[in-house]
Amino acid sequence: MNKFVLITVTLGLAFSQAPAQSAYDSEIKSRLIALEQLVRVQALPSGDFNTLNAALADEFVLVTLEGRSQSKRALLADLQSVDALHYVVQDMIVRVHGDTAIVTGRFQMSGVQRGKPFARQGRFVDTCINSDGRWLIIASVSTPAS
Amino acid sequence: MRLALIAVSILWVAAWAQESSDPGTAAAIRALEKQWTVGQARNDNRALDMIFDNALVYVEYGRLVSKGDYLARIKAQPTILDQIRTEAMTVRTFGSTAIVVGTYTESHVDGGTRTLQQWRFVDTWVYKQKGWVLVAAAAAPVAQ
Repeated sequence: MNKFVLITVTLGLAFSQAPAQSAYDSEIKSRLIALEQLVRVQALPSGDFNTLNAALADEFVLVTLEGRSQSKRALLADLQSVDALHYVVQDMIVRVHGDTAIVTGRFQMSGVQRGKPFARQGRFVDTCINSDGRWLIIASVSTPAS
Repeated sequence: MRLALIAVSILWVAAWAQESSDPGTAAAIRALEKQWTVGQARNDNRALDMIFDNALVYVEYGRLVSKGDYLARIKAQPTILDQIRTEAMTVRTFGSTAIVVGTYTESHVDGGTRTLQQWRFVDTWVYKQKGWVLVAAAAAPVAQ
């Protein structure tokens, strides 16, 4: 009988916590999609280095579509040579693992760099961590989408 | 009070820096990366199932595939021991998260001709109840 009561209470607690966890994850997902929109659709095209500096961890590493590895500093320096950029993201999916989250989606970008027009598209996978309540992107990989 | 806060901040920064180069964690992650390569080459789905998180985000040749899809493909493919050769990799840890950046070369034999393609990858591992599990993996082909 006692065992039955214990199982019932344990299951009850588990189910009562599930909606709260779901709501928490849902809030995190919304925040991370907003972060990606801010970084990719607004800060990159407008050259907003303050926003990029705040959103990317100092240890940030990027693997580009061409398979090159870039640090945060190298990426920000590279962006200085971009004259114009238009960036679109779609089909974003977020997976939350406690204080770590994975965001993936498709992107299309076009613009002008060092006087030459370019257009690329692909899929990105970003890793984000919660650092004292603030989500930071610590790694990003872009790969040609099939 | 201010001094205490500064001291705490310094300790926190020191802890963070230590974690970033924790040799034990780095060795564990490198071992798991090797298990993954060996498991894939040997079609060892049981081993792969243990190291992949159920919510794995895996981008394979530009296509987003689930853990189930990936394991099904591994199970169906012929056993090939020299298909993937992992090269340099660096492991960075951020608390319970580890990022691995590295390169591997994939070889294909098509019509008697062997072709090689180098890829640069980013793998993300998270420490959960059972230990470190892979939660995301993607790679970009290195331009020749």
